[in-house]
Amino acid sequence: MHHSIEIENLSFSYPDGNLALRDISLSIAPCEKVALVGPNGAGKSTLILHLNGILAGEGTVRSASLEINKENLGFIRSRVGLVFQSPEDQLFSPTVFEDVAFGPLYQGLPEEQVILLVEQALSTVGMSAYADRISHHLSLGEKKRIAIATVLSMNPEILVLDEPTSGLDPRARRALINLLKELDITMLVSTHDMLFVKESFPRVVVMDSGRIVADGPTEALLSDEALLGAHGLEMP
Amino acid sequence: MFYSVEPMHIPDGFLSAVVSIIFWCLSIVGISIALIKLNKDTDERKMPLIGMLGAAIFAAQMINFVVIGGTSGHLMGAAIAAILVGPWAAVLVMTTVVAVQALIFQDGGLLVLGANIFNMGILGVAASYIVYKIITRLSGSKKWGIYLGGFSAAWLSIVLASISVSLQLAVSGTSPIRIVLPAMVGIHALIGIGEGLITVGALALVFAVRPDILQPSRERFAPGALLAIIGFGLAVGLVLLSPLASTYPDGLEWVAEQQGFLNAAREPVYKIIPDYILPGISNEALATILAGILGICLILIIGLIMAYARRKRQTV
Amino acid sequence: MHLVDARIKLLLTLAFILTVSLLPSGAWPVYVLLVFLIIGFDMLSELGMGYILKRSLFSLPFILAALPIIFSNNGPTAGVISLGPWDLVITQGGLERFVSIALKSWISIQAAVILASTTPIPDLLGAMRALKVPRLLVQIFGLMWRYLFVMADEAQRMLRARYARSGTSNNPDLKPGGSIPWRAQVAGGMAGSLFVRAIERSDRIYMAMVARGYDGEVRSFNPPKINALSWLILGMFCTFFGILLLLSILFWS
Repeated sequence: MHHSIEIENLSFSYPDGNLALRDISLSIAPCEKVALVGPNGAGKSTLILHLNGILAGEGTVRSASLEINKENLGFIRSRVGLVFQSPEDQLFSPTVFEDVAFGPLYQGLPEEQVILLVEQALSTVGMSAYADRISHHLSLGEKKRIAIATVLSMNPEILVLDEPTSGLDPRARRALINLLKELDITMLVSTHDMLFVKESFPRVVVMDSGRIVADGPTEALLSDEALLGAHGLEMP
Repeated sequence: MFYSVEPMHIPDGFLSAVVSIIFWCLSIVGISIALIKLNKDTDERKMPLIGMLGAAIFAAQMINFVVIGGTSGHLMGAAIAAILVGPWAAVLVMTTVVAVQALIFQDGGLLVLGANIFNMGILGVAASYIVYKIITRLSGSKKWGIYLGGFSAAWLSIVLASISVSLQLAVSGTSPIRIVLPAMVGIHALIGIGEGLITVGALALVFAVRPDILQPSRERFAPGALLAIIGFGLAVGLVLLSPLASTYPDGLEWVAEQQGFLNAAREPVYKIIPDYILPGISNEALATILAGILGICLILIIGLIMAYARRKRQTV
Repeated sequence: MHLVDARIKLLLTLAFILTVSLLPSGAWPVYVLLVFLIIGFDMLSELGMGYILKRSLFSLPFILAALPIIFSNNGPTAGVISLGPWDLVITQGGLERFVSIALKSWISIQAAVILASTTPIPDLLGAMRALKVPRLLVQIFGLMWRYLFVMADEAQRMLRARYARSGTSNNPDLKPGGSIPWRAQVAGGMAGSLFVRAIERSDRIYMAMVARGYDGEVRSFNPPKINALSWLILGMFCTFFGILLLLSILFWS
């Protein structure tokens, strides 16, 4: 039952009254790779923020077989790695090494182990040579990969990414797609990049106006033009 | 709300009108000097810089770190502002930050805004700039000097500001000096450590990412001018406050307290409060104020002598 | 309340707070009168009592600084509190002073809340100009305000990123959190990156301003004249405050 996401009847309103999520139910099995698509404002990012407890709505969310409540928050954050859309604000340490080391250091792991984890994480994203570089000076593609490494160093069971390919040039995009393909881990990725979805994700969930309007095999859903059109999506 | 309340922004109603007005005057003088100095620089780039840094400091105050259990520390910013953009610009930066906090978020009162600006924006900035410059000069602008200077500057800015707040409260008759001064300074000596640590962390990042910002040649250090202004301000403040301390009826409550405490024969409470009395001076509040200010002047004078001595050695 | 000219509002608020501040301690009838007055303004402002109350209690913790005044020797004894070996004597005068300070503060903050919440920022800046605040300073305020929420959003995103990576490991022997200096350093680094971004952004803003002809001089539209009615209202209130102050000083000093 580990490595999975279970959401039951989740609803959430922002303080200003905006009803962002309406009765969402979703189940993701261990090591399944699912794409989350939908127009802007559908609630994708809001949903993602519920998966590690940053936001809390009505209903139940179970990540990595732990129900999200006050006591479990620390464990949840270790098991569910969240990578936000803009790497700008995720790399907040002077050097790459320090950023990737933050997670394990916070957990209280001994130094030798931290160094090992950092090296592993950086090599997984293909950025081993960047350990001593200044995060601020890197390109967007490089930053996005480092951002993923900062989460991988915690050895999470589930990886959740918000718009990983947005803003990347073709080469960086290709590198990122290949990287994510290699990772054998439960994955939920929110994206507008439909070719990316078609290539990498066997299952797709379509959201619109705070609801899940479709959930099924990518092949079938992405060839349903009517469905896509109804929710502001297009196959390029 | 963005941030937690700390005992530094004085709300309305806690300072007497006289004290409020005096510190409004001091602040206006300080701000005017800063504006004049900046205009002399004829560097219009400074205007967007000051505004942006104000926004950044305001936002940076949201970034906290957990100290123990439910308490967390966060930045005030006078020291880092002074180090990053020099004293004159920093005065304006902190003035806008403190003013926006008061006007828009009611963190700090409107009538007492002058006092709050003076404590954090003028006193805090001046003290931290001087300390930072002295230490970095002495260490030859090496990295450890920047960090030590940053930490000391930040710590001092908090502690001095808290002393100023205590004096303002005491002279207004809101709090007895025997309690508020040790309490405030005690708490803020600890809070100051937090400010110091965050400031060093910020300096470390700036040093790594944009070391050019911390170049020593950015501001010409003129200790004479700065010290003269501060010394003058303190002297004016002292002159104005001391007759108040002796004649303002509420400000003399501590004397009555002393009687009250003695009458109630409560030795334990009386004894645990440390003595700030200088020998030979009978007016206790005045002595306390003098002790604090003399201490500050002493540090500044020592620093000044050391800075001049070093400069003399360099020119030889 | 939203319709009143910002300059008048600012002056009125300042006059009100000044009056409250000058009131002698213990002038209860006047305090009660002013409480009703400010509640009246609260209602006029249409902000909702809950909202105003929440914001006005913001500075409540500061009242602790005035707590010792209760025990100062100011008139007859009102009671004694025993704390272990210490007996703290509550005096009537001290209690009076304490409550006066608390009331004054609470009333003043409400005035400030009303001013801030019913006045759009650009108007407030114009009001500051009218009070002869230097142009450069007002311009700085405006720029700061413009980017305040941008930077605050960035700070919040950084906090979320940090939060997302602050986890507890499965190993029960390990204590999460790291050392305090380490946490402070991380927090400092986050603040530092905000500063670097601010400095770099300001350069770009300067270039954009230069591209639009900025030469260091700040020019803006002249604000409309304040009509006679507003001046009248301001005058009436100030006179009212003055009389109130005079009476209270006469009777309670």
